[in-house]
Amino acid sequence: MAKVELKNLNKIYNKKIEALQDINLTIEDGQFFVLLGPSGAGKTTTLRCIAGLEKIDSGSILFNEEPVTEDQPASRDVCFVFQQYSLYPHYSVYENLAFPLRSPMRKLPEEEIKNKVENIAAMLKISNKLNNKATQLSGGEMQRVAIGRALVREPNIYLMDEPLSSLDAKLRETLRVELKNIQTNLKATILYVTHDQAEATTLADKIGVLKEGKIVQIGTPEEIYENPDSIYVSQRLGSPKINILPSSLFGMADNITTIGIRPENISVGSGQYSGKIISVENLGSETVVAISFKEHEILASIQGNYKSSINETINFDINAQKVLNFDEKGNRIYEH
Amino acid sequence: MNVKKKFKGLSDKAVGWLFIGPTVLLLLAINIYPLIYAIKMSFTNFYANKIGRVPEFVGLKNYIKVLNKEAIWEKMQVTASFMFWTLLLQAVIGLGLALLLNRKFKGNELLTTLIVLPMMLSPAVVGVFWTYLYNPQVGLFNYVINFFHDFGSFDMIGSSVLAPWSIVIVDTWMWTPFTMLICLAGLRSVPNYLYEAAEVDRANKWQQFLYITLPSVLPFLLLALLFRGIENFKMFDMVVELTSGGPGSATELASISLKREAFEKWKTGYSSAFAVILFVTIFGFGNVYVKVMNKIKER
Repeated sequence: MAKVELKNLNKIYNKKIEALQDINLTIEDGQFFVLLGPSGAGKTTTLRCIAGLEKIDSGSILFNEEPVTEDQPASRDVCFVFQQYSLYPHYSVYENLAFPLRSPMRKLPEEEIKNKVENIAAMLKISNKLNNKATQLSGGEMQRVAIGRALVREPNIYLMDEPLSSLDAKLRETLRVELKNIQTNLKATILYVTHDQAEATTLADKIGVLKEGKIVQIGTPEEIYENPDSIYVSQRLGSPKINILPSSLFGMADNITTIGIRPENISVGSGQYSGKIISVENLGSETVVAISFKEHEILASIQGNYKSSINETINFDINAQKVLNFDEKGNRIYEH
Repeated sequence: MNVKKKFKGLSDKAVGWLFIGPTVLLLLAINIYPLIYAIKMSFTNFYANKIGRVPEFVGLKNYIKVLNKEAIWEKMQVTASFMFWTLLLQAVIGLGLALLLNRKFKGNELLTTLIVLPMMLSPAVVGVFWTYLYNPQVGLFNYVINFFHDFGSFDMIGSSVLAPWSIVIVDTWMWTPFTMLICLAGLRSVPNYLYEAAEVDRANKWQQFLYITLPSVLPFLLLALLFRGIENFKMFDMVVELTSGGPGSATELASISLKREAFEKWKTGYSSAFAVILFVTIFGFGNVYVKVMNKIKER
């Protein structure tokens, strides 16, 4: 495995679309790095640039301090899990898994290939499917094979492009946990792209938030959640969504135009503010209450099952210490 | 409740029959009836030029005669060798051209159109103008060959050694675009991300071809060869114009021989038996081939 660095990476499509602008990031050896952002933010492009499937316009890519910017995909020795499975349709699961090991660049004896393939198949619980044709699998199985095809190798870095996005919720959760376990066991370096915040927070050692081709913040999931640099970043994580409100609602200092309060930092029942309940959503472990306050909607998340009814007037308070302040550009204002 | 009953129109089925009826009638009249008639005639000693003579039933005599005639087997051999070489060359060159044209380059579309042109010509016309190209004195073909290496004077059509190759060359020239077009359709259906995955998996170009391109394009290629095989088994017009089956019987394909027996010697009953044998042969081979092709497709 390797440490991977991107320095001042720029990628322009068709001479005008700036897909990536001045990307700088370091993925340490053995780190699970997640790139988070909505579609079109440049996540996939970043992966493709690292794999060598796209030529970059300027900047450099380093593996273990060695520049690989000019190298062909094959000589970079990376693994890529594509969003759309991309199994070789005419071959069996076994052949698909063995394919990367048959590369002329790593000629392994057949015995060793067999061992590796069987190990990976057992790890991903697809041992009984090895003789199936790739096209005869369910979506979840296909994606396991696709991930397996990456894991049979020990590349410099695993690049994963929303590998779980096309699976159903339950399977996604299972595979998510498995993937994290596998990564911990193998001490693998992974760059993982997603727009799913649950995947980002559960998998990542570090998260990089992308916005329109630029990295806006890099940090641990906790840092990104607790200390977002901007409104944009604050909205990437957290469910129910963070409340973004004009500061005038609560009478804040002049330079602050907008504040962000996470729903769990709003307490209800008593407090200096009062509003009307618009909706109540009981999620079992928590209840999400939407309160109408001075023509704005505020979401509050309350532990356990909170009994209340719509149109009821309710008192609430905000945890002033947890309030995030932003200026008119949406950037964070730090008091200290 | 009675709406359905009140509505007196044609049922879907009736409309369907109305549409395919004329075609079915036409097929029955010009394909199925002659076929059955030919089968019937093949058991008689019918001579179409002997008017008023009542043909007699002769049983399997015609079939035994056809199958025992050594000349027939020679014709079959000529046909088989013609089919083997044309199909092989058209498969290899067609796939090769398709691979080249599948790349993006300037003038790609113009080139495709130009390559496809021979296919649009009438086979008889092709036969005629290739006789000029093959002309030993003024032919362009001979000129070009001698330009690269001087073989002296040679006659593609006149020599019994070269004549079989002359028809193979013309058929390949004319019909390679067909296999190419179908292969191209197959190549276009391969998603690009498979090649990207293979590239990241460190496969070289040869492995990419073997693992991705070939299995994807093979069903298409086999289909093209099926069409070409059936067509070339029946090959007639182009070869008649080019060599008329000669010199001697060097290029006398089964279909040309059949035409001679039927319409020059007027042995109608005998040639009907011959035709039925040819039909059964191509029908049998075709069916086996389709079965094999479907197996490959399923893989």
